[in-house]
Amino acid sequence: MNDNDIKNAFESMNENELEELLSGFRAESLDELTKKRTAKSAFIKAGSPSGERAAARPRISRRAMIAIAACLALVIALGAGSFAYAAEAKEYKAALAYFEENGLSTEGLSRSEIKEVYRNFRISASEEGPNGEKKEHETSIGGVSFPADAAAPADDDEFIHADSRWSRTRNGHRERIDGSRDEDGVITLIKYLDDTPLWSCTVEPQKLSFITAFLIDDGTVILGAIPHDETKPSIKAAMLISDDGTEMWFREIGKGREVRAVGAPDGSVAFFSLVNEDPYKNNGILRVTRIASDGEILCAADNFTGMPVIVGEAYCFGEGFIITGFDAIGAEQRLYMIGADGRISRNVDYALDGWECYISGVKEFGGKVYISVYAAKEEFIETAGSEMDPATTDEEALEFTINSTKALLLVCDSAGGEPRIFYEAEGSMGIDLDVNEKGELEWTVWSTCAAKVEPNMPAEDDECYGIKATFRVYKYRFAEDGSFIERFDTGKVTDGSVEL
Amino acid sequence: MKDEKLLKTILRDPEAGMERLVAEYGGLVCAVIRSRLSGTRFCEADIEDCAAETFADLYAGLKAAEHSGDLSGFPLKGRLCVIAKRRAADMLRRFYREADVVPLTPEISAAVPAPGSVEEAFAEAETRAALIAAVKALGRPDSEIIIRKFFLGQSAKEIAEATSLSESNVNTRTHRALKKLKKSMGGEYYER
Repeated sequence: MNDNDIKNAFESMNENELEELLSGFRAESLDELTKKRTAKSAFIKAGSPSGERAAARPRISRRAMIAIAACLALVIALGAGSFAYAAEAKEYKAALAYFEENGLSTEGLSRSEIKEVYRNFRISASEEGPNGEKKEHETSIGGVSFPADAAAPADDDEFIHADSRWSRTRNGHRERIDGSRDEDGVITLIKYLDDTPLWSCTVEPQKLSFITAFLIDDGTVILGAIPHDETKPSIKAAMLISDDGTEMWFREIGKGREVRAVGAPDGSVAFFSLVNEDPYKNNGILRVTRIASDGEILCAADNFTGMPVIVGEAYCFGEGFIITGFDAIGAEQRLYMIGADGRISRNVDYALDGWECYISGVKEFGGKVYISVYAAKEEFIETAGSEMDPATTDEEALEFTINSTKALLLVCDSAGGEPRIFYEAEGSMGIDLDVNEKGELEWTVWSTCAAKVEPNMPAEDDECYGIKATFRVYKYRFAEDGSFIERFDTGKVTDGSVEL
Repeated sequence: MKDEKLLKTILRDPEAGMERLVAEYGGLVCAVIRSRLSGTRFCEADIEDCAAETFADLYAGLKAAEHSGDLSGFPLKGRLCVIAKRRAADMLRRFYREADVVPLTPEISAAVPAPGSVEEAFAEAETRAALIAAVKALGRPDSEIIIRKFFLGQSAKEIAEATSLSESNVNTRTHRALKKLKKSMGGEYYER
């Protein structure tokens, strides 16, 4: 027996043998940044290309995000008031970590110089003024012929089973799309309004490999990819189906993933997607494609964002749009304001030291931009999901929840300026923003009214306990000049399990 | 029990579960991959990417196991190591294929098992079982040194850093441990 025999024996061990051999063995942990990156990347990859993996794609429900916000590491920086110091300290800390990670010395550099170097390295577009001013470039339009030479390996990573449903509530009515796929891959979609079928359609795989559907005011957008061979990248395409079931248009929108669509008041539809080859490299491109109601392509622009931006939510804003975007490791959330030409005009961020913040709604109102946020203390996020002591009383759980969560309504003017806190409600979560029939800004807030600790795992596992909270639903109303009108109790109570 | 809990977390909340899984086994997976890719063109970012692929593969396997209702005794650590090895070998294969280079590395050859008889396979399995028992019988830190040296391919210096022993101590212990292994396995140990 020699070294090679031992090596070979180890090498040829199967999983059970390795399990036995390595029991009790512990390798060094990864550093926090690598851990985060790897986990996030694995999560993204787990939803990648075809077959089993696509079926198994982990998808985060909004409910889960609202309940705990654990999946969202949203570090957003507020540039005003008492939070300025916190934002500065956070940046400095990140800069030091960056230096250390890259084996760089900070010797001889002042605090501001360290941050400056970090910014230059770190591609944070916001530090360079309006995002993409110098770097953005426009691809061809008119038929949308995006270059095919830079196909993203994970281009197809959004393919999901069509046995899903998409729904939303509009004007007090529930709209819903149900989808199912037959053995030949043909997708059948049925749209319902309050459980009454409005229309149904089929999508042949030869036409479109179905990905998802978006409900917008002017109909339903079906998103998919056109069939392609191995030599061509996956090109995304979309079609709009009106509420009478008519196909209004069918258009290619280029490659890209994590596509989001939003309908504009002029009947056009804008698509936002991430185009890049590696989610961790400085080559993120946010693609914006806007298609008019008659199918004409109004704009197609690629915005260089440095760190890739995964689009969260998209909202209409003036003649353009606002989107919330996360970087690939979920460490940062920003708001991107996009003009009618599809170009990013500016981006803003928001942070609260020690809190994780999630932007849940954006609305332009009275010449200002209002942003609904819910925030949870980091400590709460770490423990409330599954690390609670089962002996915690209901009163303690309620107190913990109230002290650890808050709803924030931020405001910034439409032309520029950083968001600042306009209204704050402790023990609550900002859920949505809308303008009601009276022309008032209506902010939906869930206020925690009860909480208890329960096992949050399948019944046979009694080791993980999380907080289950109940919320009372309030509407905060504001006039056009921003003055507070009232807090209206809707009388509704939710446990957070209702899809918003 | 810890792994069972981890598996349930992954299935219940994939993103949070993945974070915990990486926190728990990310170091091991990266070490396995590094041992196969170090000295090649691959950098730490590639190793990290390969690790992410490994965890993604594990997730897919886990979902399949859940689907078939066969989650009991899911060998989490062992499965991760096997996937990591395969992934690293795939990466090397892809590189050599793209670079039009004929690979002669042990990593490649080890990934393609030579055909053998059932008796041989059985005997090899018995040898491996005996080796596992012998390594475990060494106790710590010697068992860890052997695993690091022969499974993770770490140098004495790296092992010394990881185990807080001096480099010479690691070398001495390695030598003694190998002798003990030889005795347990009923054969002679000779250095290459």
